[in-house]
Amino acid sequence: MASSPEQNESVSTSDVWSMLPKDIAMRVLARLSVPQLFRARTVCKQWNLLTSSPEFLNLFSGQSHEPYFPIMTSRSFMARCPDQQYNPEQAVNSLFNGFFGYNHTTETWQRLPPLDFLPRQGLMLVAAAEGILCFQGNSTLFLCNPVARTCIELPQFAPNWSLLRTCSVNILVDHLTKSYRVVVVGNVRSGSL
Amino acid sequence: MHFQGSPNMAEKRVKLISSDNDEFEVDEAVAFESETLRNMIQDTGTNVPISIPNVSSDILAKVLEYCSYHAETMETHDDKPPITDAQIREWDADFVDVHPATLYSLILAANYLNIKNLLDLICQAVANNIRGKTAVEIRKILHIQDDFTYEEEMEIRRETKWAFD
Repeated sequence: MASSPEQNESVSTSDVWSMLPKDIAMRVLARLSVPQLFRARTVCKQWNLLTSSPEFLNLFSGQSHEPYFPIMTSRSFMARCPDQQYNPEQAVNSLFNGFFGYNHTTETWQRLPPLDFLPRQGLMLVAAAEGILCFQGNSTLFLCNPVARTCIELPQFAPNWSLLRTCSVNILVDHLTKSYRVVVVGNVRSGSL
Repeated sequence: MHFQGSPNMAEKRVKLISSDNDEFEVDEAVAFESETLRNMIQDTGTNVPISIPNVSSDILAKVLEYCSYHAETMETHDDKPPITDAQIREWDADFVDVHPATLYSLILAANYLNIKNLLDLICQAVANNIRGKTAVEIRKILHIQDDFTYEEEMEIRRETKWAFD
């Protein structure tokens, strides 16, 4: 028996997408969000290779992606949760694990990668921009890329100067030069900025 | 087949020949939506028909439909209100609402003819199709063969476990 037209149709389409030229596949994949991109990496070997190439990452960072609104659940929040048994040791971990981003496009909360690689010095999230998070420790600022799981400590402004909790911190990103600046406004312990 | 970009009689016309030897005639402004055609026309003029050996007539007709609409949106008419961005977005959304096989042929044609806006539009449509889907669903939609071993897939998932929740 001859195959039906629909079967022919599905056969004729079946192989074409896997033959999609690499540069076009990259254009499509560059439009996905970061979590979607990681899921797409498990589709096939070619997609995994393509999306790891420097050429792709350059294309990806050139696309405008809807920013997430990040939120971290604090120790005291976890302690107040009636469902959670409060355990100080566990609470420290939950500060780093309770990290979510609000996706404006899908109107859903997305779990973001655990921040368990951060130094544990009473860090407080003070600013976020373009996927970079800025935490304030006791006296210095830390910049962290949660996806790459890297964290650097910013140099102190001057010896013996330390930030107070009332400082306002912002990250300014320059898309042309692909660089960023961290701006701090407010009082420091020995003088004002 | 004729595509009327504008009723301007002074407009130069361009002849295009598809892979299956159908002849199309369009306004120069319509052909200029394609960077590839623009370069060819600037090299050889509009007297010689331009053959497009890797685009079939049904796909070329769709592409020219896109080009003539978008060339028209650039024009201003005294008697008609200008086409709004919302109208263009709606038209574009309808345009890419086609069978995946057609979408695939359109991507290749837009790439070859170098029509950046059309290529962006279709890439976004394909990305929207796979948004929020699991790897298994994406393979099904795009008919991609899974060539990972179970261990290899688990290794990638382990590195970025949070994205799979």
